[in-house]
Amino acid sequence: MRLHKLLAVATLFLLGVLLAVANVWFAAARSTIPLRLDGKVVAKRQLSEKHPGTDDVYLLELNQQGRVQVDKHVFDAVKEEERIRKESWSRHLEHDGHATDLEWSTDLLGMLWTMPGSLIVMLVTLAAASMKR
Amino acid sequence: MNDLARTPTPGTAYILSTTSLPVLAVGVLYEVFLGHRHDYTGHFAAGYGGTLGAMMVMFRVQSAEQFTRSAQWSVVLMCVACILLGAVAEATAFRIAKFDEIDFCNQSIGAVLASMATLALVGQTKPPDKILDTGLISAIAILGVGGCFAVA
Repeated sequence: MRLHKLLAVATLFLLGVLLAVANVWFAAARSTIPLRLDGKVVAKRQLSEKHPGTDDVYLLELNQQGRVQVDKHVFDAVKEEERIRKESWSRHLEHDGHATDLEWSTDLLGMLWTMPGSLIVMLVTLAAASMKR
Repeated sequence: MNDLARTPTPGTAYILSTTSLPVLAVGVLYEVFLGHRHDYTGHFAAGYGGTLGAMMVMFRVQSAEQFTRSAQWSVVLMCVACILLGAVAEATAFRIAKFDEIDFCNQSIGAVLASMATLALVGQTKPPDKILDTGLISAIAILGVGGCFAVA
């Protein structure tokens, strides 16, 4: 019984870690800083979500890499038909002779505090659950 | 001393604190560090409340023997089922612009945390129905708060 409970605890914590890391990754990827990009912007699309102006979705359609969701400042920096290029983890985005400096989003900076904090709460919850009953 | 004698029956205060403190702690983190996106808090709380409710209903329908034999693994399986159900909901009913990976992660983190909190109820004896009903009411309230944050 106790071993089964510990295995269940470990499985749930592993799931929590995976989701927290994924959350940080998706927020980071929208800055494009971790990504390698090379291609022509064939289309730009701004889509509205539940709160227009706050949670809008910004998409770049690249001829080679397909659809990439980006932060607003990346979306605003590039134009359709421009060729964009950057290396992974570079903070400079080249587009048709221009260079735009890239920044981490407020979302990512918030995630970098919220996700580790959530994992600590998970550990405390699991420790309490393991001791009780 | 046998196992039954060693496992006390949880009371209402225990179930309320067990189910509400984790979601409150992480909810405060979301609001402090991601306060510009209340919908993130909403997805997290909705995932927590929905999963907690599913756990309470599952325990309610389990027999005492089933509970004693496999409660901990049924919590893990129900957690995975709730995460998958959340993915389907995000891809269909709640898909406005596109499938939002961050919304999915936030609601799934809520589901995992609710499952962890539920493990506190797992022991040698099945909690009384009254306690599970209290947990279900708590879950519905948390789901409602999550819905409010998601659309606020």
